[in-house]
Amino acid sequence: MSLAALLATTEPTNVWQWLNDSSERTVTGDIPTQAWTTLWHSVLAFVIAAAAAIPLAAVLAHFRKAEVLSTWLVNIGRVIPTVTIVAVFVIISLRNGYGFEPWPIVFALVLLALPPLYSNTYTAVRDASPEAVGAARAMGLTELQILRRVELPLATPLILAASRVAITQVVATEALAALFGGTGLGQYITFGIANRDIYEVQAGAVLVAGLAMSVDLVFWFVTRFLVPKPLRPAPANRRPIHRLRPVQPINRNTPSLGGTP
Amino acid sequence: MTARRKATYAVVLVALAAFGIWAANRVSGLSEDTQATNPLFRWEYLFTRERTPGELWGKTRQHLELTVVPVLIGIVLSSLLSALILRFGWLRSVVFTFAGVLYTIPSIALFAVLVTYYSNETAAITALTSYTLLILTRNFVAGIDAVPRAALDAADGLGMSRFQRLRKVEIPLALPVILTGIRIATVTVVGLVGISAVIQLGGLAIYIFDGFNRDYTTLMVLGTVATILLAVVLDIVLRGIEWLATPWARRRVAP
Amino acid sequence: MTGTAIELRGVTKSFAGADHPAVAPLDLTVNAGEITVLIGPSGCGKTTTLRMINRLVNPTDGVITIDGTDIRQRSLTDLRRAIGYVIQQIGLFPHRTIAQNIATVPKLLGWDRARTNTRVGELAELVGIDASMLKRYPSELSGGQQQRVGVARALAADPPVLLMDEPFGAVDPIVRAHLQDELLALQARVHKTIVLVTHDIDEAILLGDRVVVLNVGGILEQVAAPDDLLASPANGFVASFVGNERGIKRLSLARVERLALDAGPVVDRLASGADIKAAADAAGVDWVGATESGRLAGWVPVEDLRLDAAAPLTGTELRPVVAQLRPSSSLRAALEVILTARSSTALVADEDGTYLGSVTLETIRSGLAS
Repeated sequence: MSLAALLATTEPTNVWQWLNDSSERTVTGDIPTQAWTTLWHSVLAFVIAAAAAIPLAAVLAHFRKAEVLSTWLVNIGRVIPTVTIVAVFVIISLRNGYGFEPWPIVFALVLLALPPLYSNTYTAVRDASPEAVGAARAMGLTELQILRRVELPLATPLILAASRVAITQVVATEALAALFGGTGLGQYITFGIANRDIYEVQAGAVLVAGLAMSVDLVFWFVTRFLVPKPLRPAPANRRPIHRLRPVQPINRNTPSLGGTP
Repeated sequence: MTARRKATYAVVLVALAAFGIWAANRVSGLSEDTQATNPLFRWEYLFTRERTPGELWGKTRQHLELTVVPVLIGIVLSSLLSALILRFGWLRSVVFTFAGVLYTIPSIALFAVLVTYYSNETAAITALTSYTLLILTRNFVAGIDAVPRAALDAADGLGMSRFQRLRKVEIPLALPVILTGIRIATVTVVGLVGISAVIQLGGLAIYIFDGFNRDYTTLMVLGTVATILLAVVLDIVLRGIEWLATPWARRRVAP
Repeated sequence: MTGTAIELRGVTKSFAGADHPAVAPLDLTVNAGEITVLIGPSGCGKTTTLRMINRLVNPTDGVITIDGTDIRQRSLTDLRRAIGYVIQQIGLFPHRTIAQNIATVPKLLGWDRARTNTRVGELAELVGIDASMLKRYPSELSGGQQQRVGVARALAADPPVLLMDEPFGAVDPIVRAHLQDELLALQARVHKTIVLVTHDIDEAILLGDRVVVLNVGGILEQVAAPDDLLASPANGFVASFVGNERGIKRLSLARVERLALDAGPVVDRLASGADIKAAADAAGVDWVGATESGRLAGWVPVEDLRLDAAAPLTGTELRPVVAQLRPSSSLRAALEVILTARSSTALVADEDGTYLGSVTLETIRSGLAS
């Protein structure tokens, strides 16, 4: 914003005023557009990752193949910093003359979401009540029927929980696109820092965090709604401190947090 | 070690050696005068430019500082929180919900907000520390929970004081899970440091953004590879420490 | 080193929020150098009582003394270091080697390394752990071996008292039987005061010098030696707890030597045909056993003999006696022999072969009845 424009308008004195005053956003674009950009990047990336990871993991888990792949994915996904994944795609895109939007960021987000979705689905299907699976097999269901009718329904709570974690991280990471000149809610933050406009920065932060938490909440509702009561994972904090048998170190009902926020 | 594994190691070693020889050869032929239209990666930048090693080392140091300090503070805070949770069981859900919410806040947002109140470094360290809390507390508590009750009962019965039991039995047996938590926290923070580039820090990842802004892919590649390398090295080192600290977990279990 | 006596006087334990005490006021004397077994149904407070002795549980009221001294007068850790403690889940420290596990209490007491190492070696030999195992970790050992280490660890500082809480519950029956026998052999060497909790009446009868039967709420129903417990249960509860096969269980406890043996169908080798026939008829069997200079030589069916000869047994080939017992054989073994041998009579001879008498079902029955 030019100096004249700065002096001409009433300055916001806190975040809320900034958010309310739409004239502040003549450069960076209005909130709904930016929010929508972030959202559809995230949802697209999540859908691609889920469509790739979940069926593959489910089938492999049912046939008990490629067990190590699951652990490896989680380890690699955790160690490789998110920024670098985005950077790689940006480099590729630059070298080939593509624009920035939207593919580099979407691909990067897909790679971010893959490890937690894959590995949690794998674990969920693999550990789905072996007794029920055994009974189904004895009753004469085909392998695919067992997967569809027994293992997947039993694994659904965990898969939904993992999805919730994955998509929240994806939304949070989408803001990184702005660091590379992309659009989306992250732009408020980068612009604000560049122009030393603290309220824009704060507003951007609030919006990004807000969107991430809203998505988290929406998925929490979806999970509560879709999962029948008997299948809800037991809360970890009800266990007494000392038991006769040793406890598994990581509660299996909490999806492992892959990637970074 | 099976023959197959030996063969694999041998092949990898030979390949690495060949690559090393080729690379050394290539590097020795470099000079600052070579002309290149903006290749993907100008090796000269890395090997012949005088200021590069210093800068590289400076940024590595910054990256390590921004990793180690939050993790250390996180360990101290999480130890306190875990001790409180173990003493007052009802705190468990409160602490984990709070830490979980902190973890959900996008890092870029947290950096951005904090930097408007504090200096760059303080903001970064505060934000990074808060991300370690969930991971570390969860693992610390789970580690202590995982100690077999029978071993604790035996320790009491044999005549260990509460403190001796903690020192000799509980903590050593909780250590594997605790060390895993520290490793995960460290690796996570290394990744997040890159995002602090938005507030002018960024460690090795600053190369990525510098390169992007100046349309100089060499820097971007350098930043990317260096950051990944640092994360991988730290991961391997910490896994090594885990392995060293738990000799009893390495042995084969009796049938 | 022999053990010391433990006395419980008016000991009771109530847990907060419970209507009835877990252990009603209990008066009990545990004799030195004996194995005293606490047994009873779930909720009878046997484990609670045991854990009050080393103060893992503190009595609500009452006094417990060891060797005359109130256990509350010693510091908690000193008390426990002087009492061995073995539990069902074994509780070895997974992160320490076998040798380090065994050396736990000596280390706590500040023994120097040489003395500790010697002691660890002694104990390994005592409980039957091979010296090569000492460097291993508990996860590398089987359940039975682990529990042996548990016992060694409990005995490391040579405590006068040993507390065992269902020590053999976590292993399979074959290993359990071995461990029980080994405990008896061990006790024969060390004579500790052992208090053992179990829910298995057969284990109690096998191991106990005295058995304490507790009812729910810590009510003391009977204290007696195993045989007395089986022969004369104090009330209906004890009788049903002990089970319906009391008579058969007593068979394991009693030995042939306490029976009044008959002469049986046994004669000297030089006996006449008339004596032979008389002996066989008296015993109601169709065979005779023969002794030479008092030693049992064998047996032969009467019909194979020529009774009109002067000494029908000389010169005839004798068959070896299969249905043979020692004076130390249990009555259970005697019954087994009688049931599986061709005849209804078993012959008893001692180690030298000296014939002592014969045993029939009637002999056994009247022996138990006395």
